[in-house]
This record gives sequence, structure tokens and C-alpha cells, in this order.
Amino acid sequence: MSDQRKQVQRRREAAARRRDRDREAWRARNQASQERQERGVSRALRDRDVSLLDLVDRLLDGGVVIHGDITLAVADVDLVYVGLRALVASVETIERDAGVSLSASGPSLKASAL
Amino acid sequence: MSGVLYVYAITDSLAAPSATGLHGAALRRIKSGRLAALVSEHATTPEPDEEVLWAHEQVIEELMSSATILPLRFGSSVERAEDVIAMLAERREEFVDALERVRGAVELSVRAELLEAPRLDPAPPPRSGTAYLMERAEQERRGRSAVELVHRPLAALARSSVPPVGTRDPHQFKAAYLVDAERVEDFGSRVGELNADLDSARVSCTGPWPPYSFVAERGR
Amino acid sequence: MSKRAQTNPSRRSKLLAGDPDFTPFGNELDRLDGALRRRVNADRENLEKGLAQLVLTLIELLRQLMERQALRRIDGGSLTADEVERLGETFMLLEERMNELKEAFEIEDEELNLDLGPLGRLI
Repeated sequence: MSDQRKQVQRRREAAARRRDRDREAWRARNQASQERQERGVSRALRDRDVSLLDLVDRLLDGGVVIHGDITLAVADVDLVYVGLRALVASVETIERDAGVSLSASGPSLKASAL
Repeated sequence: MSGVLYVYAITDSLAAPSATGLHGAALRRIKSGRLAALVSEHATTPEPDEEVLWAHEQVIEELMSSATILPLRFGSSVERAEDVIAMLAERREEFVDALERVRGAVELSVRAELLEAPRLDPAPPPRSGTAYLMERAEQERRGRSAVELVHRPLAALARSSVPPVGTRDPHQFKAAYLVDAERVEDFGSRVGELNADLDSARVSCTGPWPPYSFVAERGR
Repeated sequence: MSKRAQTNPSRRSKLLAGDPDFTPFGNELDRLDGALRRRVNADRENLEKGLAQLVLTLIELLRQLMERQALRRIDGGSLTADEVERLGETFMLLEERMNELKEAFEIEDEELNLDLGPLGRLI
């Protein structure tokens, strides 16, 4: 029993260290952001960057898809080619069997699932 | 003859295409009923890079300036005109509905950085399971309220929107809005106002874009 | 200050209003190179990492679903204090385990997602 407690304790400490790291990272990011604003890092540069990001989001992830097959990609590594119909059918099955609704606003569990 | 037909957009406009395609290629209409696809011929489908993405976007925007169109994803190409005709025939209803949905409107992209600091507890862990869940609940609540502050007022000015998806990082969100062309200026002003008024968020908006995010039926 | 709705892509600027800052989206910029060069990478190491990402993404999805459901039940008042404590501890441990796995495979938070093409992102 006490071994388990020790394990839990070690894990909590690891989590604490990780959270400290996250806080530090957040502080650093915030500070970097302030400095950029103060240095007046070119608004034009930031403008171009955000325009490019939004462009890529649209052209590569949006728009009408011409082929029925889609790719399941994880970090740009094409892993699985799936026929679109097959995928839609399996999504519906997941929804029905697990009582989950995978809507555009995010997954949610139906009350009956618990 | 080898080569591909690179497809830019689908339209129900009868007018001849008003633009030139990538690399100066001529644009051609391939018709099926009252729909048409706008294509150009190339040796191969281009790979995406910054240059060609902007060039592609320019073609789409020129087309959009004189007709209602559904933009295709970058890199969409087929081998023969028959393939295009088949797609238009098969998905006719989908495309007709989508054209109605976006007629007279453009897409605006909004990004917001939410500036609330994460909890900087002076008394950090170890903590109880209950505290963990309470903190998670607080995070969700903060995320939701930020969405209310930024998303609600903007969605009110739009025909429809792709709302912000819950992200792990409660500090940022992005969303797309389908806005009537005449309301774009109002929308921009509102973004400016939110930016000025909200201490807790920094909001920015790009556009107008062709309606990439609204070509598919999303309602539930 | 709003600008006229004008498209001028040759300037590569589409900013309509507001003042963008990049710090939060810095990771997106970094990954942009990868997005622009969608290559199928047959390298074994990357394939293993890709599989790990797939598995962890699914675990992460389930973890988030379960956490949200627990929060909803807490709000609804249908759990005892003891149950809340036990659930919380379990989720905490699960989160730590996920962090360890992410570290072991050198996977960033933003990489835990699935692109379902026209269906959007999974998480």
C-alpha cells in the first residue's frame, strides 16, 4: 500500500515539475511577446505571417474535395487512405454504439452512455 | 496525351472566366447542366509552396469578383474532362446547395489570443484529485467565457460560422465566419472594437477570403 | 481601424482588422514547412512516431471525453465527494502518464490530432 502511495507521490512531483516548466514557458512567451510589441516588430511582418497561415488553413484544409478518398494524416505523415463512404459509415457506427456525438462543435457524451 | 486538368472552382455563372490560371495557362469551363468547373491544363499537379499558393489564391479571388464560386482545395486535379463532368453530375445537389449558401458572401478568419494568465498558484502541488478537477472545470469555464466575449458578437454579424473548436490551449482560438459582402466593413470595425475594448483578448481578422470553410454542409 | 474590403493578394497581406501577434501561433508557423511539403515519409523512425501519434491521439480523445463527462456529472451533482476525489486522482495520473509518453516519443501537444480531410480535425 505504501509503495503505491510513494508512486503516487513521485508522480505528483513529476507533474509539479512539469507544471513549473509550463509556467516558465508561458512567462517566457509572454515576455517575448511584450518585447516584440515594444520593439515594434514589424506589423507588416506579422500581417504577412498570419495571412500565410490563414491561406494555408484554407487552401490545404478547406474547399471542395474532389476525390472520395481522404487521408488520415498525423503530423503530415500519411498513414491511412480511407474511402470516404467507409469513414462516414464508421463514424455513424461509433456514434451509435458509444453514445457519442462527434459534432462540429466538439465531441460530447450522451447521458445514456454513462 | 498526358497531363492533368487542374480544377479551381465550381460555379453556376454563365459568363466566360475572367481570369488566367496558374503559370499563365488559359482557364476553360467544363459544363454539366447549369454547373461548370473552371480548369486549366498542366503537365503535372503543382506541389504546394508559398509562391504557388498565393498564385492559386489570386486566380480564385479574380473569379470570385465576378461570379459565385465554390473554391476547390489546392491541388485538385483530374485526368480527363469526363471526370469533371461525372463529379458535377454526381454531386449536383450538394454543389447547388452550397452555391446558394455562399452567394453574395465572403469568408473572414478570426484569431484571438486570450491573455489571461494560467493560475500562478503560490502553493503548488501536490494536490488532491478534487482540486485537479476543480482546476479543469475552471479552465473550461474560462475558455467558454472567452469564446462568448469574442465569438458571440462576431457571429451576430455573420450568416454562419465555424465556431471555435475546444482546444487544449485555452489561450487561443480561431474561427471562420461567412459574412455578407456588404457587412464586411462592419465586421472589421467590430473586430477593431473588440480589440480595443477587451483587456483580456487580442483579436485579429484576415480576409475577405473565398468561402473555403463553408462549402460543406455542417449543420446538425 | 477597419480597412475597405479589398483583395490584393499580390501584396500577400489579408489583414482586415486587429493586430496579430504570433507568439501563440508560433508553433503553427514552425510546422508550416511540413504542411507545405506533404511527403509520404517511409522512414521507419518516422513511421513509428506516426503510429505512436495515432495511438496517443486516440487516447487523448478518450481522455478528454471522459474528463468532460466527469465535469458534467460534478456540475449535475451526481457524484459523491469520494467519487470526485477518486476520479480526479485517476485523471491526474492519466495526464501524467500521457505527458511521460509524449516526452518519450518527443511528441508535442499540437501534434496530437487527426486530420479527417473534409470532416475537419478530430480534437
